[in-house]
Amino acid sequence: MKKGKIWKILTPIFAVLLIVCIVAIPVTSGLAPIINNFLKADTHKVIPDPDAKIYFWTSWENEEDLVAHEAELCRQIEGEGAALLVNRNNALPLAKGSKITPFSQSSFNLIYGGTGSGSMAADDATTLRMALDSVFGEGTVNLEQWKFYASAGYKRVNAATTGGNQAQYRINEVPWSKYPDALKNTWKEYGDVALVVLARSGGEGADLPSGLPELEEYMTDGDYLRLCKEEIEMFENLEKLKADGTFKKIIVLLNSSNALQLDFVDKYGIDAVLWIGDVGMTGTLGVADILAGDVNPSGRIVDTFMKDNHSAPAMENFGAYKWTNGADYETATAQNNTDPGISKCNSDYVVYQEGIYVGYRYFETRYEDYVLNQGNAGDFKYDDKVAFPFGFGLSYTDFEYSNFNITEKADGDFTASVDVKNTGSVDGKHTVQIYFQSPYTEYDKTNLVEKAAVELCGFDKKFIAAGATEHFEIDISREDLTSYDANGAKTYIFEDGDYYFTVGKNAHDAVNNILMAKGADQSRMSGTGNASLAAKWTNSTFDKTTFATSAKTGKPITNLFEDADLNKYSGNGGQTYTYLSRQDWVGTYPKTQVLHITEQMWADGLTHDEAGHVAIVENMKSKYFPNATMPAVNTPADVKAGDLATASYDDPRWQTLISELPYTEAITLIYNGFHFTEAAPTIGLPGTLDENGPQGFTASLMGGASAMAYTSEDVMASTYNRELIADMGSCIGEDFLHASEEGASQVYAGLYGPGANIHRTPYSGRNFEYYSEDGWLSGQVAAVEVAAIREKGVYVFTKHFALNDQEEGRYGIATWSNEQAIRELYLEGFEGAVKVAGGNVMSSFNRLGVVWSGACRNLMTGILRDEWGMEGAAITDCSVYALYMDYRYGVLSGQDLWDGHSMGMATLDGLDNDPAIVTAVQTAAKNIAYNVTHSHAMNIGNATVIPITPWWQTLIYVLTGVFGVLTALCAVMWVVSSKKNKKA
Amino acid sequence: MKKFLAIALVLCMVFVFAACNSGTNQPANDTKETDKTSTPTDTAAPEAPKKSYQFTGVYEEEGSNAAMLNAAFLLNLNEDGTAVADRYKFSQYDDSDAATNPSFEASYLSGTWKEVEKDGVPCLQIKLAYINEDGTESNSQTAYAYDIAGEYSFDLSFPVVPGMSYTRVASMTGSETKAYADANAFIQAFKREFEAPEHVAEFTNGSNVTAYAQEDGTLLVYTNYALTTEGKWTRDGEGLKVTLGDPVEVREDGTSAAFTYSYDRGDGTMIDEELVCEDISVLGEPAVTEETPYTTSVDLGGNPYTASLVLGQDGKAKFTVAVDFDVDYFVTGSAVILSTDQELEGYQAQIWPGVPHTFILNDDRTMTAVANVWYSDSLTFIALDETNMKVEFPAYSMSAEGFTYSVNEEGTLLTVTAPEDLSDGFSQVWAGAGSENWEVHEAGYLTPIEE
Repeated sequence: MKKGKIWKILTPIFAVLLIVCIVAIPVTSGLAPIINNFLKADTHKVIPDPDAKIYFWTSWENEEDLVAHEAELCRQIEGEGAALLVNRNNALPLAKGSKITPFSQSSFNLIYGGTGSGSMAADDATTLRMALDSVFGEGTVNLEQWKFYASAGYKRVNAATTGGNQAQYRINEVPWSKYPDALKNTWKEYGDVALVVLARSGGEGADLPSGLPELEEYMTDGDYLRLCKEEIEMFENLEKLKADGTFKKIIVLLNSSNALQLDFVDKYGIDAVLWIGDVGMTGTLGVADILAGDVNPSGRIVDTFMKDNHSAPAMENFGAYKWTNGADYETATAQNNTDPGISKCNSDYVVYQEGIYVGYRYFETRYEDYVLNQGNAGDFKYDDKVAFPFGFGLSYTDFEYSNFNITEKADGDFTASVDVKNTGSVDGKHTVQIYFQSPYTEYDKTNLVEKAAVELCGFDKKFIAAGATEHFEIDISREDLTSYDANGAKTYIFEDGDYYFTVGKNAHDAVNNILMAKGADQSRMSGTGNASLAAKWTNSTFDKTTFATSAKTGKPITNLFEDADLNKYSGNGGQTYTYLSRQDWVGTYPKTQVLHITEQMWADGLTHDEAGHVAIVENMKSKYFPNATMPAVNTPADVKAGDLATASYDDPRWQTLISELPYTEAITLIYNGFHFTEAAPTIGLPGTLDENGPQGFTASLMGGASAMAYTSEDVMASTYNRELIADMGSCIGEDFLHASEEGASQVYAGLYGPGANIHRTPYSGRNFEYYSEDGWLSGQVAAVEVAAIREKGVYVFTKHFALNDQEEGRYGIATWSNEQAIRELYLEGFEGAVKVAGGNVMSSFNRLGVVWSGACRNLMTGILRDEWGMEGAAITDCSVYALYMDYRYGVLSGQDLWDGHSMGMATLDGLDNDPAIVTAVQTAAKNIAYNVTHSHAMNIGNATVIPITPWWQTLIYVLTGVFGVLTALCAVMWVVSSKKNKKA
Repeated sequence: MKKFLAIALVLCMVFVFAACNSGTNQPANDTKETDKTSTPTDTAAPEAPKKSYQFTGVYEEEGSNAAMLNAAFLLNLNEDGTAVADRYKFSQYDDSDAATNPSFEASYLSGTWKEVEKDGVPCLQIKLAYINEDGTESNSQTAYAYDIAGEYSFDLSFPVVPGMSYTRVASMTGSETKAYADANAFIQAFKREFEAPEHVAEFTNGSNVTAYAQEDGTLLVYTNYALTTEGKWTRDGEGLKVTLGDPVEVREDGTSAAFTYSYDRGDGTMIDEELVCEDISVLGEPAVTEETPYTTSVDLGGNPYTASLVLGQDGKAKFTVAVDFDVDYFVTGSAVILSTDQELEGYQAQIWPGVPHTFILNDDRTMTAVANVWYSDSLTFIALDETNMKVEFPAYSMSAEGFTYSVNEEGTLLTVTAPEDLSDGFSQVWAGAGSENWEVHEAGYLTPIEE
């Protein structure tokens, strides 16, 4: 080789490599949070404080004991939550030693939990066979039948979590013709019971089909919650087999958090029906306990089970409805967080035209009006519509009520008391449910205030031995008896008139008691009531001031959601509708609403172009931060995060702390919350890891193994047992304490859950993540669960705040409702979690009216902080690629942390000279820091958080340096050798 | 000295590349990079199962985002107890050698397997996980495959983005039969051929972006084989025009033409591509086909909407105003009558009564809403408004305006008055086939009432 030629070759090679490295530095820097998360690369190092105080202690030093306790707890929750709906001739309990043949492929492939981010790893869950064999004895279950289902090739299919759709759901029950004769010959031997499991799964991303023509081949009328033809065929054959003596009993388990249409339970010789919901890891054992009589069923259903699911008025407007002129605005909905173009999440809307009449509030109220022949109730046949009312549940014993009384206390609240006698021969637990009815007055009719015939306002559960009597005293808050008057007083009112309180075994029982007290015509009633179990209390004063101020914060309460009510929204373009009203049931019954986008809707929130976003931001700044001045930024001080671990939210040191943060560090905190929080080394704030609920610390999203998955939330609620829920919450908190590796730079400190939306219809894909159709009950359960989790130093984001009661169109769907319904139904679940338990929230994908929930200041600040007094951060739902969840909107509204990365949407960049934005950013940063500092992440004390360069970045820097040196060296050698060659 | 320096530099390079490589290497127990093709090896572990199984499955979905997900999977349950799942993505239609094929991911998921009895049923327990760069696992799953008539099956869950719970499920089936000897055999068996849409010309950047100009004026832009944008093209005396949402500038140079196509890479970064067609002479006026809709503007709730009508076979048509209607149609003369006997619900029920159902079909593919249309055996009666009428004699392509009409309250009697200045030709037609009074039958059919 010619002298110097090697340098001529090497120089450009190194130069190219150098350029690659130089380019890689800024490119990868922008993607650093994602790369770090993907590579699990540490970005900071925590040097613990040797004098650290442990703020949150575990109560379970031995993890095995904790695991065993949790397994037993899940079993108990299922045992107390499962509701016995039918038990003809005391078909249950079954004798030990009974031989059981399971039916349906779902008996082998049970539903333990829903799908999506709330999913759980069910690989180690206790199967139905294991549970039955465990409780009844080895060999209880027909193993040949079990094996048959394993190999039959039929399996239920769920919709995919993202990119999925309703048409993907399949029941796939085994056709009767597929059962081989040899298998049929085994049935007689295991003929004590034909145990039929009817399972319907739900999950994130797609609601259940409620009438898809393309699914009629697979399910009756394309409706997933009806019996399919294979199931009908199965029941018809089982009825024959029962008649010929092959089977003695037919027992049905309803394995679903979505209420099946129960129009069949009086057919096919069915002896008993037990609703079990989604059973979690060990819930099958609780089911087996009930079947065997080891546990007396005490669950009470938290939804109305219908004979015709479409008879609920909410079904008239359930789904994603396209704006009729969406094409003119180039709207689009991306159903997938990995999908580019998600900025156009503005193509759908839904109208909650039924107002407050969801679930039992509709059926029982229209029923009362039918009985009293008022409100144009029409020919309302209650028994044709409702299979089992809200709160229904049987027991193996009977309970008798006496001495019901209501007492007004000095503070204005009430106490309901009642004696409950167990008149049967077996012990059991019993839930006392207290309902009230407030007067429906001329004032209400004039001001369009709606009143339900009954509302749950109190409950308690006790063990009552056979033959014993227990006395119950249940507190009722006067605040819970108020109504929201959006048109007259524009606040909560406590009206004058007659109030009825009653103890009912369910909502229908309750309204019947009140009807009897009113002297109603019994010939028009469905069932009977007992007037002695209803008490009338008369209020003489119309009170519109007491509850017009938040008892928590002292701030006024008035209308906040007029822009979410199309009738009141100034940009409606003349589009209005009538909410369902008990003034005229027939005349106001909802119809599917057809709506178009107006120019104002577009400008107010639906716009997806940057100019439109900027205009909205400027409007928000002038409206909410009119006199903003530039706060101190990047100002060194001695206050560190560890100093504020026990500081109150109002402590002035917070401002000092946050002022230390450089702007870029503050927005880094806000931008990057995809299942973690960033560390802020400047203020010694450690980063944390967050995990998904709601069935427990299931570690699902990041693909990890479950710690513990309890039952679906509806089963939790149907226990009506606050002690059990508190125990569960405490254990979930313990799972967080135990999940964090010793010495790790980040600990698991935040939970995405529980869910507190409601079961507006039976078809929502995520009903398993929500407690009930009743917002008040949801709030009661959430309050207990969230408080218990928080006691272990875990911050809790109750989700999805708010009005995210369906999956269809959830990315940016415009949700229209009215203020009374929003406050009395849809916010109540969250109110318990925040106002009572001190928790935080995850905002939702949808819009209130045309404004994304996280950008709705009246929601994120007006409700959360001004009325409920929330302290700390609100996180978004998954914000990856979701440009409509604009950071600027959010921080100006009270949204703090984004469940995503800033990639492609870093709209706070470069705004460090904008006083309003910087002020809002500092508030958001403070809220995030408040969460972390008040979590068990601070068990490290006043530790030193040192930022470190992730290993991959170090590698790039090293390579850049090496290639730089080599390039220079080679270039020099090339020049030198060239000169020498010339000389030569 | 110089030789020594050169050797030192070479050693430095070796060191640097080695360091670079070690930075991305998997832990020693990871086969991800070291064994690009994951076909079974003979390195049986001491306690290895005696058997091996091979599973395959395909995941396919439609949609703009599906390209990154649609794939075939090859899972080998090896004799040494390891389980290795490879993935072959269809999106790039690349069937080159597995060792260098970017669409092929060896050891996409990996883990172990064994025969177990779960809950009394013999089956294969398959544990798989995605192995991260640092050796940690995510998306771990334990699946159980049951013997169904000699074939095993299970659902393979795979992440949309590794580490996230957003997953898809591929149904896997397999047996002890090893259908594919190696990864290349697997690729050849599952490869897909890209089928370009029908087109008369194409604009391309020479690599991954192509816009297909279709005969009817549609322009379909494909990026990396995925349809990313749908637009329009026209060509007239003023040149070639392209619309991709908004009009784009077309630069013509002789017979070639080019335009710039801008698209979002997916993360907010806009990419500009120069798409060139070397010969646009084939692009005449877009052809009108049966699929080209008739369009007009109609009023719906005070807002203008575009109504479109595509006439199909057997008297069935698709009529679109905000939503689609599958309707029956009858063409008489230049007019069309739309009807439906379906029970309309929701949007359809609200929209249908508020829009016209009778139109004149114009040659330029527009249509004009008219008040009503009737027809007799030889004449077409087009009510232009509430009083004026046009009558056509389609057999001779003759028509005349100036007629007036009225309909009785029951809608059963149509009275038509001919204008006095009717042309001679049409006077003869009217005298022969016309009448003043007509009985209205179902679907607008008329029979004359004898005077």
